[in-house]
Amino acid sequence: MWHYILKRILLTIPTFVGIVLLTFLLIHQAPGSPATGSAGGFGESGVSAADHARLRAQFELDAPVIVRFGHWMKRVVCFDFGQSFADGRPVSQRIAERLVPTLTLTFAIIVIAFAIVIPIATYAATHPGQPVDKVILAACVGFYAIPPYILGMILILLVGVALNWFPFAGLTSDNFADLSTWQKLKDVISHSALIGSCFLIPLVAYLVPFVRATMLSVLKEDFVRAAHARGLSHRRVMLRHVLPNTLRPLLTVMGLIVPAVLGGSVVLEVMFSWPGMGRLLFESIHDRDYPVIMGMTVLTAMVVLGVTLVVDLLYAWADPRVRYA
Amino acid sequence: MNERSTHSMFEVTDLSVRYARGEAPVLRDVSLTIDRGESIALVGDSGCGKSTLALAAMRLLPKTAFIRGSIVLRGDNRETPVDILGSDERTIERVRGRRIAMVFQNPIGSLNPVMRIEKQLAEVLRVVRGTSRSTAKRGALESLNRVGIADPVRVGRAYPHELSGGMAQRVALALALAGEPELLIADEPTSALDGIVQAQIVELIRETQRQTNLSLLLITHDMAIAKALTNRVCVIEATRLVDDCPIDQLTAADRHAATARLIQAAEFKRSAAITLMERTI
Repeated sequence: MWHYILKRILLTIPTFVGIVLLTFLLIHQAPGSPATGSAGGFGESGVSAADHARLRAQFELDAPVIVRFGHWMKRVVCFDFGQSFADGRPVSQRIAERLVPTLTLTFAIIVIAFAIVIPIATYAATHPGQPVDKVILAACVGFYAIPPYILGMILILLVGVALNWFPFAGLTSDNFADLSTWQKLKDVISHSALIGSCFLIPLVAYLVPFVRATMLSVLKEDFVRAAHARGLSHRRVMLRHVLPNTLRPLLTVMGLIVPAVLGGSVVLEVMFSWPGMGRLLFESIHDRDYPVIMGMTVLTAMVVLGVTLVVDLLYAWADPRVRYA
Repeated sequence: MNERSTHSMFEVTDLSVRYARGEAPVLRDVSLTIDRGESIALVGDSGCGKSTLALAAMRLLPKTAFIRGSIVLRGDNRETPVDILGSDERTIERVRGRRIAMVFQNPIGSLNPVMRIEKQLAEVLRVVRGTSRSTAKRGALESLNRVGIADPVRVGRAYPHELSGGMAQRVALALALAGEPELLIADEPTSALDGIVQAQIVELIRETQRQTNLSLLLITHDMAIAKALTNRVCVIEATRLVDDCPIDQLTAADRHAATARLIQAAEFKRSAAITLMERTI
């Protein structure tokens, strides 16, 4: 087991270096620079030639990319991600204040998704081919087919503007500082309801057919019939024998969901002016704020690789048959 | 042999099963009875419907199946008979494992792959016998011991995929016998096992029957196993019951063609095994 974990951890190192190097090269080769912004040209930016030269020197922009990568790596190894080009604050501080909302939202979405998916999928799997099952599947295909940004617009226009049920911009109200703790929580939740739904709806629509199909194949296995034959109640067979065997393959899917939710957050957070990591990434790319972009890359790569690693280990824990593979 | 009572403890009457509307039946008007302590074999080619009868007896057929006829569990005289096909789910859950138990053909597949053996045994002991959580684990080890497992602690800690087929079938038997049933249905219990292990499982079932007054419904395609374990053979051919005879009359020449064919098959298998043995030695 320890041998497997060590091997698995060592394998993530080249992947990590690859991600970081590729992003560094890409972002530095892209047109535009921190001195001029993404718009590019000298003349249009309104920055004088002297100021421009000073900025270039300050940001080390004239050194070859590989030298800059070397300098950057040297600092990163000491956990120094540098200062943001945009406002001069430490990168770690800028990311940290955005990390909390995004990770909380991601975690909440996954928990809520499973709470919704498991009962629906269980019902569908135990009533296969019946009208309700067919309606559930059709609804899943329909909702999964809507791109999140279209769904976002529908929700903003319908639930946000027309019905005025939930706010659709920002994370907090203007009078946030005056609210009690309980009201603050309510305020944040209502501000996250619409953007959360945009993540949740496609995720549920994706997971329900998956869990249903997995459960259907588990229900056909001999040990389920044998468990019934031993006199266990239907409820017990479902909870103790069918569900654990159904959720096992889901762990692998979790490893795919977390990066998808983190990645999807760029478009949606910009749409909802929601101050998470996705919007920070968008702003940083727009400003060519290299240190922030690279800090985000390092962090995202670490989160994604970490989640994949944990999922792999959980898988070995959940299914004794893969333990020594 | 055990003392035989005059009434049968288990009765199947005119059972017909179809899996879907418009499909050909898998069983047609099958009737058979089992007396208390009696062992009968249901023999036939694969696909003749014998496993369907076993599942019907446990009411484990899919809900969509069309079933006609009746199956009644009488037990001894004091108990009220249970109408297997007509009772509600609650009643059936109390019959399964407690009064009728079953072992399956694929022993490893009939165990939950992600649960340790001792946990599966403890669960059944708690549910079926009402054993307390604290004593269930000890009970699990004891029941492993009773089915001839020499190191119950190691086997108890194991997961199903870590067991051999024979070991898993012993565990499956321990699970089936946990509720001290009156009737054991064994659906091809040795077909997935190799020769020596087959003999061991047969011996184990025979030994269990000697100790308890267990009735046995053995489902097999192998007349030799039927002969070793039972005193009556029912032959099913293409959905119908065609023969029902005591084991000592099996050699008689005037039996049904299907019976004769199955006897021949068993003899052929035996002589082939002997020939093979002579060649290799």
